[in-house]
Amino acid sequence: MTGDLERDLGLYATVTISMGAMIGSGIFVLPALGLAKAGPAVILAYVLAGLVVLPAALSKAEMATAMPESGGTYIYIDRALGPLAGTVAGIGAWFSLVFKSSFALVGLGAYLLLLVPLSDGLVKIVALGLAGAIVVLNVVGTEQSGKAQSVIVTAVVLALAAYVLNAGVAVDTARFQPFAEKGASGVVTAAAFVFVSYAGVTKVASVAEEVEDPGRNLPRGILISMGVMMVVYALVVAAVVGLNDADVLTTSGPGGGPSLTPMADGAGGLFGGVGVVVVAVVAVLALTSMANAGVLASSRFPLAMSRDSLAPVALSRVSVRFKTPRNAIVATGSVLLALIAFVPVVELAKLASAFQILVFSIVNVALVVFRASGVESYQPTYRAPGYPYVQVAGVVGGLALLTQMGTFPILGAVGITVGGIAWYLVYGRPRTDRKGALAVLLVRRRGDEPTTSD
Amino acid sequence: MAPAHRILVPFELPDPDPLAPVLVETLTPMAVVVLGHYGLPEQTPPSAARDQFEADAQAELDELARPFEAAGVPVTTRLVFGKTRAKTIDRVAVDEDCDVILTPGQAASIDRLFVPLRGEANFDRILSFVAELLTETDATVTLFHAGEDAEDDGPTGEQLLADATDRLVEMGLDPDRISRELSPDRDAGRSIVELGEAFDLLVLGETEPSLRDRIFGTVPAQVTTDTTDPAFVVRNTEES
Repeated sequence: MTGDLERDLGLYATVTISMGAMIGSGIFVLPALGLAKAGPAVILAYVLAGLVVLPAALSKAEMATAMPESGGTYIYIDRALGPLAGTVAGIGAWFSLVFKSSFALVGLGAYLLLLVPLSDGLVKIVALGLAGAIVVLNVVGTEQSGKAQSVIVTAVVLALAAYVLNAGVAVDTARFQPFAEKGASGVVTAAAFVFVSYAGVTKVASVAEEVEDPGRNLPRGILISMGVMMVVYALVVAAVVGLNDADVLTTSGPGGGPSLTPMADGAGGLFGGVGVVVVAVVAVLALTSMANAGVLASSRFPLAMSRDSLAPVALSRVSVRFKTPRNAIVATGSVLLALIAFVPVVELAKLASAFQILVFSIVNVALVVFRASGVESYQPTYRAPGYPYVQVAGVVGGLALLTQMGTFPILGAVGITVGGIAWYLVYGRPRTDRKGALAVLLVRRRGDEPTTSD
Repeated sequence: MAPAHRILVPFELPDPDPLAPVLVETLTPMAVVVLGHYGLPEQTPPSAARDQFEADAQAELDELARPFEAAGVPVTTRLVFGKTRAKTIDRVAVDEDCDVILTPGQAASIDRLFVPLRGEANFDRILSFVAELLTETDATVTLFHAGEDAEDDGPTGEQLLADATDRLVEMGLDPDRISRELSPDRDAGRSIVELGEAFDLLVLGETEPSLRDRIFGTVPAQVTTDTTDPAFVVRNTEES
């Protein structure tokens, strides 16, 4: 009976799902923000962010082969560290994806307004409208669009390649000097801000139960997509830096802040003069796909938590009419709309990254606990290399980035942690006495009889 | 003696269309696997849907299996929650060792069978299945081949149909019940659909998809979408 779950995502589909979740706001919206913090060295910031994500991606790949269930990040942390950490991580991961989708939608609004000239003040309204449409679409339910997703991702990657090649002949190399004008700390801060560009790699783990031959395709899918994205980001951001005047780029956005459409801004001379339109169309495509995937993926966290009694039961109910987890999607959508309406877009981006850094650091801890506890039910078919140094590097790197982010994001991360703990104490604790592998580890350390955690 | 045939009968849940009773009768000498595919949108993890709907879906599936049980047909049920029906059908057919897949359709009575043949790998299997089907009814069968000329070193269209007729007679069929139809038009898909209109039931061999097939759909896939008759597709089990 357990064999009767469909596994129909192959390696290519897995890679494109992962890349499709990553290509979006990270490249179309954030470069100007990063440029403001790091100068032309923002290129390094993107690579640095990828390197800090890598340990968590590898840890996830391993845990995904041991626990290919939907709701990935949350599941791993919950099973490793217990429901308290699980609650914090689940809420953190959920919020991170919702924040990411929200600023993707605002960016989408900004690019749309390049195509349809209306007042700039309408960006938020457009974003809200699009958000509403995406939520409704997800509630009603869509057929598996794996093929459409593959097509869109391939098309966007090709378009980006064309952009880079075309830009290569049009850049003004003087713009790359002085390269590291804001110093190393600027690069680290920018890396923290653009961290969320790689958050999409989460998506693979959250659909893990549908991946064919998961022991091979999960780690490969994650690593291939990360590798490709790091190269793509570095090249594209280099092009953006080379094509644009930094002063303009960092002040032409809403409220005199960084531009939300950095890729289109310098593209006027590309593609035979229609560069702005081409880039805007590609951006709209990529951002819509990302926002849609973001809503779908983030809805799975409240669903997974609800099935573990850490969130209200209603959130795991599948609607009889639509066959979708309507309540989880509506809850996610409500937060999404509220964020777009009330939070400034730059803060949305920073908080998305801050929460993601927090969650990824905990992911690394979770892997260490699983390995150290020796729990029998933990049987990954892929083992992440470099244990435990890679994981430690991931945690240290993540915390280092986090501390460079500034007061508001740090407060946000602390707030989520405290809020998560409080929610667990109020709701989860009375309803479940599951223990994670951590409990097994601690018990053994105290010299008692080791037990399995289930 | 030909091996026993196992038929896969797929249904889409929930609220499936029940199978025409006359089809149940024709399957009596064989074993049946009833597959319930519960289609899901991409928003829903299959395990979540299974948690909530499994009990009702299984009950519906058992209801679908009942007519077979009542007719004395050995029946197994499989319930799958998933998103791609065609892949599920293929996968379960392999899992359960089914050599024939039924595409249910409308059938008030089974009087006339239509069997297109190509001389392919499962030629014998198709014919043995047809013979089994015909032992339960008084139906007639029309063997059909598209293309008069020999392909490579194979037999001509005439020879192929003559060979098929002989085999059916060997298996105990009254030659009066067998007729032959040879079409000069090599476009098999269209001919089958056009001619098949006049018949009650189709039996097709599964084809190894050529490049053209992958773009336009295999002949069985084209035929089963365009016809309202029930169609049995005999798998290439030698290939799996």
